[in-house]
Amino acid sequence: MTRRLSSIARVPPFLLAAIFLGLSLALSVMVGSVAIPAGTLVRMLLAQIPGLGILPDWPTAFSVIVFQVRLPHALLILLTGAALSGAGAAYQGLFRNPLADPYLLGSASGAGLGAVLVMSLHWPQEIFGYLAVPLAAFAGALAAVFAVYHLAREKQTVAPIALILAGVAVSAFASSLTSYLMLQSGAEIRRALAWLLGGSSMSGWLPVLAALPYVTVGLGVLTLSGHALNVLQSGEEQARQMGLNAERAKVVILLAASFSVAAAVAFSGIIGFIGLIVPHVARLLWGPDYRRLIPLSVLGGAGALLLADLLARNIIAPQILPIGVVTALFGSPFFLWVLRRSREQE
Amino acid sequence: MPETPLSIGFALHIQGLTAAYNGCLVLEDVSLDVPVGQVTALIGPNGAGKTTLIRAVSGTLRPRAGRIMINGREITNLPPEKRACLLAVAPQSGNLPGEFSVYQAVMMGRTPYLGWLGYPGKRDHEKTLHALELTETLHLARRRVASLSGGEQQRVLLARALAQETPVLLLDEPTTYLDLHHQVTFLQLVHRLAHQNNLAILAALHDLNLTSLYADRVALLSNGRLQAVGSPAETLTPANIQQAYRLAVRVIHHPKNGLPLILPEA
Repeated sequence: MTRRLSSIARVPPFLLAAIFLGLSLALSVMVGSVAIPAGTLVRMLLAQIPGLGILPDWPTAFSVIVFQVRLPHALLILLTGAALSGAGAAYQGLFRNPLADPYLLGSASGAGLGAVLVMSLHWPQEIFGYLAVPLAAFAGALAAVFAVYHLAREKQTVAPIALILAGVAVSAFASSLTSYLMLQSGAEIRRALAWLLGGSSMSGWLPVLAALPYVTVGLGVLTLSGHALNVLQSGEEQARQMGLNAERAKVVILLAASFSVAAAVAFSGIIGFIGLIVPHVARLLWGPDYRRLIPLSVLGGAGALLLADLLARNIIAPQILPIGVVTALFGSPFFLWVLRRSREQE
Repeated sequence: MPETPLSIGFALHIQGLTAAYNGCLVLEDVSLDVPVGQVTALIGPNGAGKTTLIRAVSGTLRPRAGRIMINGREITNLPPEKRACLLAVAPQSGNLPGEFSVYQAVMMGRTPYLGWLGYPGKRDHEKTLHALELTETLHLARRRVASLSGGEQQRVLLARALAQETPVLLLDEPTTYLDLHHQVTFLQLVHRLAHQNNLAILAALHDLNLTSLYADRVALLSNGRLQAVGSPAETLTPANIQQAYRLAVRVIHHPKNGLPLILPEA
């Protein structure tokens, strides 16, 4: 196992992560009720470039399937996986806690509550939905993380287990409020239920374009904060003695991570564990340096969620499994493994 | 660096420092000078305020009153990134993140010069290597921090503080978790660094006999006040120790160099 890991680790990290993401994206577009052969897909993509003179020799339905359905869906999943995984890596570094994950920390449920709260106000979705829902989700995610952090804090320290227990409690509280709101609001909100379970009922290019700026800003800031996260691993007091403005760094990282989570939840619902698994695997493969760990988690998380989505769409086809079910299926045993490992290290 | 009359001979000048924890006064009106090229030991019983003084001077605890100056420049209100260019702290061992390599850990001492992104330049690599050389840890550079012994970790923490390139160094009970061999070699190293590299070092220490052997000056804290300060022979007297530690002691002299050694009156 270790030997195999080290032979993988010798491939340049960003190349490996990019290949993984590229393959996942290609598979995600190719596989489905109608299979698109790889060669056809390449020619379809090349035909988008004017001047190459590639004439369509594929069924017209293929164009609709690829460009109207699968590609926008895959890109939304890609952005979601990237956001959750990058935020997970940042939370793990910020709280110095191997178990931190947007789902387990309660920030995803908080974002869900914020989003549903706005949806239940019966504002016209088309106009305000893409603006108000992510912002409300952002507020919800921040509120949840602050609550969890302060509930878990004992004197100056936050024990890893305490943080997760507080996360579970806040998460349950936010979820119950969310359920109440949804039942109150009647039929219109029902489709929100499917969304909330990670069923990403949204389709087409609009949610992709709407999510893109949020995810870019959030992950951009996190990617630039790698050194601050490295220094914070020595604890806040030492970080300050080494010349890091620790308070400012913590606030910036917390805001950016929660912003990413909010975008992911607002457009794809609550999907657990991807922000736990991917940063861990990245750390095992490529070491603890957050300047690399954050962007590598972003690439890896995008690819991993695409694969989870591929399973979700095809495992019981023609029915579709919520993607959160698939990530939890792999994520829960992984969580237990990390929990054991972190207790052994204590 | 411009010298003002206040700072001649002293890199670190503490004046009337008063600090409190949870509204409880822990340090009261402490004034202390830490000269360049010497090791000044900070001793005193548990709870006397040694760690509080280190924390207040290093800026992690906001003092209630008093001034802290380095080379004549007031540092009390400096932001962390500026303060870290003047003053570095080596904390107790066991506080290093274990997954990083020794080289990465020491490089983090360059933080005040690196900027937000943290990508080091040529000078940062040179200073890191130099700090590893000075602390005799260059052979450990590629090792993971978690795989080091306590003595090695303490040296790495010292190297990280040296990489910060500051005129003043604070050591917070650096020998607490070390055995006698490592305590002695570590303090010899600290002594040598102060004298050869012209550093002003303030080290909180527990062991009075090692303090006597390796400190140039000793500051005795008791109940949050500075009870005595001076050479080991001046400070480590039976009367001073008895008053601070509430323990009857006998002071004998080291057969080789005549420095005071403290024995409890059995």
